[in-house]
Amino acid sequence: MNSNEVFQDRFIVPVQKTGRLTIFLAIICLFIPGLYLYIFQGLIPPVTAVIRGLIAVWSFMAVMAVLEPIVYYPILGFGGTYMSFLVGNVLNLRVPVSATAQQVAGTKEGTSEAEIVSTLGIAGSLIASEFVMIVGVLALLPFIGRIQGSGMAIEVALDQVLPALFGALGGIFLFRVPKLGIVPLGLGILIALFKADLPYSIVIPPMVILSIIAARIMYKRKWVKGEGMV
Amino acid sequence: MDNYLAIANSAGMWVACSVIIVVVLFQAIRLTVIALRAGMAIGMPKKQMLAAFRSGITTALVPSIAILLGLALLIPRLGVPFPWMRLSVIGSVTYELIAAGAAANEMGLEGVSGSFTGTVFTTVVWVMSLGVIFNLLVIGIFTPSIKRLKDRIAGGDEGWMRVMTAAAFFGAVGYMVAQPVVKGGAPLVALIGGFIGMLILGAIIQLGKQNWLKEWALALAILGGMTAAGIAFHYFSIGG
Repeated sequence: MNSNEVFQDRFIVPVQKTGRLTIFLAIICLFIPGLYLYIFQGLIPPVTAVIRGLIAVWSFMAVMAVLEPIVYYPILGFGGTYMSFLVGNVLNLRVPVSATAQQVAGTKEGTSEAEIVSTLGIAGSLIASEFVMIVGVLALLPFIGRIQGSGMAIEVALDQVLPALFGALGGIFLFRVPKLGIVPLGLGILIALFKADLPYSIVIPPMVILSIIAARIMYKRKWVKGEGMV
Repeated sequence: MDNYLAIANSAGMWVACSVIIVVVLFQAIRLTVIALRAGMAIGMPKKQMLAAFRSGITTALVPSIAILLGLALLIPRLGVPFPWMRLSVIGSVTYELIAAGAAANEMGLEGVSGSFTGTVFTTVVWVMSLGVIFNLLVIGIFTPSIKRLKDRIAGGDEGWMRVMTAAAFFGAVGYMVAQPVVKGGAPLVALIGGFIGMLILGAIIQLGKQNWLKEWALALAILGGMTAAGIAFHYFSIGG
């Protein structure tokens, strides 16, 4: 066996086996909290609301689900892709982790060594993330009762978490890609002026399509470039 | 309202939310073992491999603490275990909040608010969970053939793929950003607060070269927007 075959046999094949198995287990696990609420607490969601909520979410998540792995695969590698997209925080955490691991180990992109280094680095980051999340939530627990139900001003503030997020996202757009924001934001304001309480399942899918079309035109005319994107 | 939070924080909910964390840890440990063995088989020094593993741990520690701040933003309305699971697996504060907002919206509510009930909560749980199912399906099925897919989708033009990803996301939030602008009141105060907060943080990061702040910027800006809404209510009776 030459070293490529060894790598294929000892790395690619077992990683694919474990990767596939764990991802499908994770998909099954996604249903558990909802099923628990249904079976043990008798909480039944209105099916139409769930479906419409999912239409709103899927209309942008499906695009990202396909494109993000393709864009980040060269950095994350084979094993790193399985892990990174299972735990999330890909761009802000796993990509820098993989890059740092390559630097520390001194490997070249695209080699078998780089693949192993990236897998190890990202596996380490996964274990670190889960450790922080477990310890952190245990440390937070005693304080949580105090946040909940502690005065009207705090209640008002808590209700505004979404608008605050959108303001913050607006700030990020302005810094990074102001041109891409023009069409979706302009359209959004026009629609909101006309009717400000439409269900998202009706508004979001066409908005996503129009935003992509506008972006395509801008990209073709070289008004926007691929660098520095979210 | 207190009632559904008792369910959201119940022991059973903790168990239901913990299973997937076990899967994540199993995957990470199993791939570590495979990578170490394969590395030895192709003659990599053990030292080099352990250095890579260690650098992964240290690089991830601080940004992971930043994720906890995002967790704190979700807990008041969704209890502890579910947001904890969501942010530990395929999570980002942005996605979770948008998905929760979309579900609440279909239940006729304005955003992630205090008027949640058990039924709203379970709807949010289902939408937030199943909302990421495509992402997992794509990874589970297509990872081995990703290189070939790249050329087939968008002609392998990586720049366009990045632009398209961003455009899809902007398209999704365009209307949601516009709503508070048109409606005014507390939501508008929070929006402006979050916006200004992000501009200030962005300026500090870029001009002051404070890169560590990047991980914290979004959650801090959100907190700033929420605080602005709280202050506006307390002193000027806006919203409520």
